Amino acid sequence: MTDHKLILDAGPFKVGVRTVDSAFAKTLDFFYRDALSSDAMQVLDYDISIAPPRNLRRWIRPQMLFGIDGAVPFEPHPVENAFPMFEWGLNWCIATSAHRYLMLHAGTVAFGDRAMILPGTPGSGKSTLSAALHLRGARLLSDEFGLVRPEKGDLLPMPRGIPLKNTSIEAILEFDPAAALGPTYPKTRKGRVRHLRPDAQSLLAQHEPAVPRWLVFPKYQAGSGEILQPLDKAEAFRQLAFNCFNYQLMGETSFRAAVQIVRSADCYTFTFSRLDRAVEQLSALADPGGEGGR
Amino acid sequence: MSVSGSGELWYRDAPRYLQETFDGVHAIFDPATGETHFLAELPALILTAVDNHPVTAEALLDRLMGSDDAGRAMDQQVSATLQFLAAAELVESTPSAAI
Repeated sequence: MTDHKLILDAGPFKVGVRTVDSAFAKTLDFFYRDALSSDAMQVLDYDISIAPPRNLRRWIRPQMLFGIDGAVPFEPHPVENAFPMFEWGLNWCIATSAHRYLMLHAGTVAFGDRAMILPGTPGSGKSTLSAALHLRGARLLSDEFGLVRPEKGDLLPMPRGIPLKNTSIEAILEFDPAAALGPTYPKTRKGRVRHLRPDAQSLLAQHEPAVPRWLVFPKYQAGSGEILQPLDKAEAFRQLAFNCFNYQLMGETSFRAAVQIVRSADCYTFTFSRLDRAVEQLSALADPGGEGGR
Repeated sequence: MSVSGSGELWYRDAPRYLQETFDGVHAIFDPATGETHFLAELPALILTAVDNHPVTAEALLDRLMGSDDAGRAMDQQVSATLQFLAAAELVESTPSAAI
């Protein structure tokens, strides 16, 4: 049994990953080859282990445990779900500790160094929309966290596998049959999940911040067509604050950072039903031939 | 004409709040509570007036609305707004020593 000790470069975070599960290590390599190393001398932000329990579930209907800095905060998952467990566990670690940043519950992509922020609650379609924009050339910053550096007002990338759930998987494959998707996990607690791999360019550029330029609140609605409407700044601020994990915790810092984002970005609501048209319409905002959207 | 609640002195005894205005809507961050409020023009105006100096509702009405009939007709609105701001913990009141 091989003991894998890897370091994942996840944007502003250095994540240590230790595991004896070679299948999980292989999946990590599929998603993050350009961001993985084995340099043991790095200072880690998170020290994660994916390891079997010490009881009979080590062998009988085997499970894996997510460990962080020596603690085990979650129930075990089936061994075949080690990768989604790792991804969700790392998200939990970041969401509960990285209060150095304002953390938006948002998909974030960039066109060059200009960021499009897509805040939304589960079911809004932000992850699927982020995936589609990324497949059409936008740089992936994150599908889950908009990490805002409050002192500069910019967004820090943290490109990771985008978890597509249930029918979103087919929607992305219909949008792009060549999309680089990882294994299918049929029985997770969120249903059927498959992850889109971030492209090499996004991983290589993961230390290049982007400046908020568009704030778009998406809402998937079957049969609705694509409706992009300007949103007044007061309502944009209200919705942005609502979609911020740590708005209240960070107090005045949050308020000032959110004001800066809303003042500097063009704000919209976006109802959509077809990914191809949605990507076309949002990409037009970032038209390099002019100041699209102003 | 007396203003309802005019026997009270309204004041704010808390650190200065932050204010940003977007198209006539005032976003107010209150460091005392950590809450963010969204106020229309009248509550924002009253909050500013109370924050500057403790004031009775009567004096507030005079200062903001003038002493003509149109101004006096706003007394219930001013009183209701003061109650709203108090519920949001942005202002407080105490029995006025002057009454």
